Amino acid sequence: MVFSNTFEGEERKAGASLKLPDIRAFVAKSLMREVADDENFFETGFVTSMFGMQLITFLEKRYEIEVLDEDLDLTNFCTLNNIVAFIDRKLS
Amino acid sequence: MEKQRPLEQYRRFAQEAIAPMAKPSDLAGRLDPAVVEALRANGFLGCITPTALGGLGMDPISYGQLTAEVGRACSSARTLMTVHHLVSAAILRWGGGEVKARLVPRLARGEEIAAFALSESEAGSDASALSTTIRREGDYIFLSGEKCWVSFGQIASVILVIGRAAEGITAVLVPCDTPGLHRHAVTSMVGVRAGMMAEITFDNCKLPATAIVGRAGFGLSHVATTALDHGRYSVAWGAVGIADAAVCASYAFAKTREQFGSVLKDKPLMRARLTRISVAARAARALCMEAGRLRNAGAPSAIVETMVAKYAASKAAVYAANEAVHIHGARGLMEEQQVERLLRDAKVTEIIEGSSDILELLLGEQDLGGDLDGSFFG
Ligand SMILES: Cc1cc2nc3c(=O)[nH]c(=O)nc-3n(C[C@H](O)[C@H](O)[C@H](O)COP(=O)(O)OP(=O)(O)OC[C@H]3O[C@@H](n4cnc5c(N)ncnc54)[C@H](O)[C@@H]3O)c2cc1C
Repeated sequence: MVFSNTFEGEERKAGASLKLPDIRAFVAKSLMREVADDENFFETGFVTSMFGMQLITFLEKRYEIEVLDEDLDLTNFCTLNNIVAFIDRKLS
Repeated sequence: MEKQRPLEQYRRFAQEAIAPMAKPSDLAGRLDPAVVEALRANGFLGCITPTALGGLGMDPISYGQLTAEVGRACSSARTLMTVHHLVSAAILRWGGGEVKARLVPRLARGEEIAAFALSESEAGSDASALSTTIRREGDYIFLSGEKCWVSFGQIASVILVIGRAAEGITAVLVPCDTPGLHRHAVTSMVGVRAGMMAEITFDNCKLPATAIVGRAGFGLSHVATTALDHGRYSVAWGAVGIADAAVCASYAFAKTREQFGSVLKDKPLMRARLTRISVAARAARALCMEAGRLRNAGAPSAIVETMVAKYAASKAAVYAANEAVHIHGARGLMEEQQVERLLRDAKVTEIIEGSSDILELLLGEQDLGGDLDGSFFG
């Protein structure tokens, strides 16, 4: 699967339906396994030491957001659904 | 962003302002202050800092090429750039607004020199085993522990220290005039011998809680990871510089040294050696360029490709420097020649910022199979 590097404005503002598969694919690729939408992947033991920064870099580039020091809260990043909610908050 | 300077300018700067001081600095175990001043005066302690914060705002490839030229001239000077910039990178990424506005411009102008303290005697490759403690009391934190192998710890004015708080591993910025901070020079390190290494003890150092960089508990996973990612990029380019220097020295020697009635360069076996090290140096540079391209694009794959570049470039540097010593024969082991220094310094690049073994473990966790064109991660 090949994605374009950046979303157009409309697409970027679209809801979870667009973001979820996108983020799911990234996480699956990074962890080399599928994760359920509500699964806390930091508790699975499959998270690599680089994953935290890789995920943030991906989200920043993909959704044109900036993850700040005050955003560093594991609940923002621990499940696919939470990540989508976090992105929606950042974009709102 | 700084207008890209031609590679020639970086080379001239490094060869004129740094290279002449490399040997005396190495022999003295202390980087000549004129080198620090030359880096400072040219803005090269603020390469990656945006111009709005007083830096040069260099793009990753220009920064890499400069680092390679400095590394080619003197690995100790390159190490200063590495640690200073990796701390700047971590603060730029995770520092709070106040700390960024106050400290980053001073770092960029070289008014402060930064060092990085992660390693401890019992926590090397396994950084998560560190035992330096950060205890919080109201608006203050108290730092206690002992760090080793701190490059430029002898002259740094501020240190990014990774310790353990109640929330987990945490990064704090510690001014070196903090009461309870003591430094002890390490003088017996033979790699990057002018790296002005120190052991640093923190004896219940009292700091404002605002000294924490990022959030408590994210010191290893995010702050140190950002710092080490930058460090790997810098070390990778520094290793390219060492490999280049080894190749150049080898050709120069082989062109003039005569045995069996002709110069060494004309011997088939010598040509094979020279070819192999030249190819290794070029391959290392190509991987660094690719990592730089991805970093410039902000691609998530840049983190992994930087590891790949550092892994390959450090191996190329050790290989080329080892061959350079061999090609020089007995002369290769004399301090008068620079090649034995290249070998000592090259070996360091395989150990720091994640040793080659640790990078194999980290890269082994990645799916490097289906992504060679970078299309997925961009
Ligand atoms: C010149 C120099 C400058 C440095 N500057 C700094 C600095 O500024 N700040 C800082 O914090 N640190 C610094 N360091 C320390 C450096 O980061 C550590 O040396 C490095 O992390 C390795 O730790 P260690 O030396 O304790 O080796 P160890 O972790 O004890 O490893 C010893 C050997 O075992 C291998 N090994 C370890 N674990 C595994 C494994 N699981 N599987 C297979 N092999 C393994 C390693 O690769 C290595 O070859 C510096 C070191 C040097 C040499």
